[in-house]
Amino acid sequence: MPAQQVPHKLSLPDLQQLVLYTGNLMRTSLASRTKELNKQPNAELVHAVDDTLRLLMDSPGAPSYRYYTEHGLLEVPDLRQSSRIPAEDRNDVQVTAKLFYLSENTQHVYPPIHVDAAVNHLQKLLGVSTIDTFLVSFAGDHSLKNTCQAWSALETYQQQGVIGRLGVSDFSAQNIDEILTNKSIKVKPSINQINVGSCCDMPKETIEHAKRNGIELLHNSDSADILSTEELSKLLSSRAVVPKTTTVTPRWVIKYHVFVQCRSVVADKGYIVMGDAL
Amino acid sequence: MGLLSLGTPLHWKEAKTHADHVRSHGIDQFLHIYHSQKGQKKQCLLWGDEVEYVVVDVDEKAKRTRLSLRVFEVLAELQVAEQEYLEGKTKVVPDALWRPEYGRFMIEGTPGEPYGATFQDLLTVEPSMKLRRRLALAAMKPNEKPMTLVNYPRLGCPDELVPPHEPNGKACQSMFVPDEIINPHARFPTLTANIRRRRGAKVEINVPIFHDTKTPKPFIDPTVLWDRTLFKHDKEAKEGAAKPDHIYMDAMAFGMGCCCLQITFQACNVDEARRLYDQLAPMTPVMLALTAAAPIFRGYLADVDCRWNVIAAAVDDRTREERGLEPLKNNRFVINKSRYDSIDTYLSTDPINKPKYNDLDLVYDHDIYDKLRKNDVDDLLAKHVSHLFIRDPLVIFKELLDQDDTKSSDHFENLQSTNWQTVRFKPPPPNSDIGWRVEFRSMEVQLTDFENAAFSVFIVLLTRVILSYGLNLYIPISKIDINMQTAQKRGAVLNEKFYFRKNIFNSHSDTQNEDDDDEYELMTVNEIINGKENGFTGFVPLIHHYLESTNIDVQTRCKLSSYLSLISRRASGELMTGAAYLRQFVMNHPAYKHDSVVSPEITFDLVETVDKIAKGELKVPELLGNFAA
Repeated sequence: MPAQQVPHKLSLPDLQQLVLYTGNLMRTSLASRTKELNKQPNAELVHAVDDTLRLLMDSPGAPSYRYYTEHGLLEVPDLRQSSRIPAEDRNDVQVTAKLFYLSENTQHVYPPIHVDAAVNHLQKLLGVSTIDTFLVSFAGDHSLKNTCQAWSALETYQQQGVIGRLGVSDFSAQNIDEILTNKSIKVKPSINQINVGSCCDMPKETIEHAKRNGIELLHNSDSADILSTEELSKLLSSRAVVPKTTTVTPRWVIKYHVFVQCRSVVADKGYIVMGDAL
Repeated sequence: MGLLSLGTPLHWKEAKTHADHVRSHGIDQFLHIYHSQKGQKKQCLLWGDEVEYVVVDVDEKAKRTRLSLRVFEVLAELQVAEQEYLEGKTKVVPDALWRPEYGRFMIEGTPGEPYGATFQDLLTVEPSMKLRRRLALAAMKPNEKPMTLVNYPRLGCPDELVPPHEPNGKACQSMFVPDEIINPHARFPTLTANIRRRRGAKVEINVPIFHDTKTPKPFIDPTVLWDRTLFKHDKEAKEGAAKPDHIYMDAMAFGMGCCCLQITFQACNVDEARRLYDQLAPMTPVMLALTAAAPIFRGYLADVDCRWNVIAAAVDDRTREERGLEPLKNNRFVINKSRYDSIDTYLSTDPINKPKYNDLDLVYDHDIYDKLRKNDVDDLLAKHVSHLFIRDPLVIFKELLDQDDTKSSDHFENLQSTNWQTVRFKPPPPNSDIGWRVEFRSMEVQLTDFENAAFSVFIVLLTRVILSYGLNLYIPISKIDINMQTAQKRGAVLNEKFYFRKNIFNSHSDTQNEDDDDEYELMTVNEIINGKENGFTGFVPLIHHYLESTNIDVQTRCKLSSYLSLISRRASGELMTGAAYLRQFVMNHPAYKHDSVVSPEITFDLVETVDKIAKGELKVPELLGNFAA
């Protein structure tokens, strides 16, 4: 499957699939726009994608993307700088990834292949074979019946040592109990990410329950619907990556960060977006 | 404050003959440390805070407070835990380490062990500080209190010491404070006297008085002993040292008797230490303004809110020649600052440290510079060190003159620790595992442990954010000096603006013009800390964004948010600074006569009130919102 290195042209080939890397947001001025970022939960992702597309279309000369003709896959790689973690530094950092299954494209189906794709892309991007913490957001769906296949894929990775800790997002105490007591779940989550808003209303019950069950309650302010079809299509068409008539649906988003734990420095933070055109 | 070596300290007449010896060996010691330790890599973040207290004696019956000079008995008890640990009598690490400070009424406490790098470590700061306060209190008599006041308001007024002493000591020769106010360890009286001897005059501190409705104009201070002739230096006051409309002080104790909040942290290597030193420098005036808590000096309301200039003048050992008042004859340089003041040069080798930022005419010892360069020290670091070494060593112990420069750093530290600056670049001790460190020194101590913890945590998070985003805060260093003066003005947080860099993100910006990228402008503290719409991001929002990019747990995040909220609300003016609160307390006191005088009666109530606030017994929403002390 040869990748065609296409020199920069005014128009891009028709894409059927898209994989986009925002690159390391810690080294951009995106964080300077905190007031904008606070306006909606997914503002950071939307702005990051827009910045990446802008660089894609504005970068003079050198190839800034790859196009795999066989699958019509347009890959917008890490345009700014390499996120590869040198081998000698791997033990100094903690790699965390959060996979967002997106609700629009799933009728309560969470294909395990997305887990495979996510793990693969992240390994490639960061140059690592292991991911220390892997969190998953099932688009607000907490029913084990629907998510067990995806969870099973995660378990396999965990048992192989590719993934360290597993975690879930926005689970209630009840949801947690369900998964902890389910006998077919071999690897239990050790993390639950929740959003406590302004800290005035700490959910005491959830906190106590987490303590009793050895679940680490991490903070997040993500929304499960981190990217909609409308948003992605608009981003792409407004930068002339696709014609205005094309709709591109995001299938999953990975949010990752690399943390140097003995210095509490965030070395890298970014997103990977995977979508397809209808 | 600096090292407490033991031995016979030399009188200035003799000490100055050894100045070159100390400097020369100090440089050799620095070179040894630099070359043996510059290859350090991947050191973890370890850090600590230093909190200073004044010990106040409270006479409930007479409704009178005084400074207690009993600190050495108190310290003896407090240091037992550390001593037993060092002697191997116990494996229990002491909860706190206690040190004497310049004033015999002051103690300094640090955590028993450095804090680590995690966010959970940040939550241990406040409990550590609270524990220290309890330990200090327990080692004192029932009527004594350790207080985190920047200064005792009536230091230097008659009958404000227990035991009482007249101001007729030979070391200070002050009109206001006796020698017994100084820590009796040989170093401190020697430092005091040698500063005076070197300078050729008493130190001269003049703080503008706050003119209230009944304050005389011009204000000629009736408490100055204009006609005393006990010492030859007494005449200086009436010969111009004591300025009209100012609060005149004439001793080191008025400066070094002030309490501050200092944070020291370890960088991962020497380059990171240099980078953080530079990037924190522009924040030193901002943090001084935010922590302002010293509006009263020698019993008078001042027109400033901070201690900084007072300490700068209190240890100013420059001669008339060095101050440019007479042509250079016996001294080598004209030096435009006291040895206690803001930094004069950036020192990072980051490409973003452009030469234009070092826009002060740096005074440095050229011979020392050349020697450092010949020994493979780069230009910026060589200038930094050779600038520190323009000063004379003030305290030299006869027995310690000859040292093994590969084992000792005493001579280096002699100069290093008597250059007191807004940030300090601290090389490791020789032959140790300790890393290159940076000390943040401009903050005033706050009335409560909640506030001291919040500001400490803020500084640490600020450094993490500087490193995580690769921030660039550079502005011409001369502008930081201007900011430092602005910061001390009455109500600076609310009323003043500070030069600050507009674009602190070091990415490829949208502008083609590099000079546009480097622009700086005047911003309020509120804008710097909280940001502005469509403009500067603000450090509190940026810290929140950084925390969002980590695996922080919910409870830790909420506690850190409360610290950030305090900083944010002080910056916006929603909450008062300590200085504004103390000033308001005096001015609203029924016994206050609107003549700027802070009487013993007012001071008694002030001390009692501040003590209750620190204990959490009194709620002060205008100072602390609904945060608990």
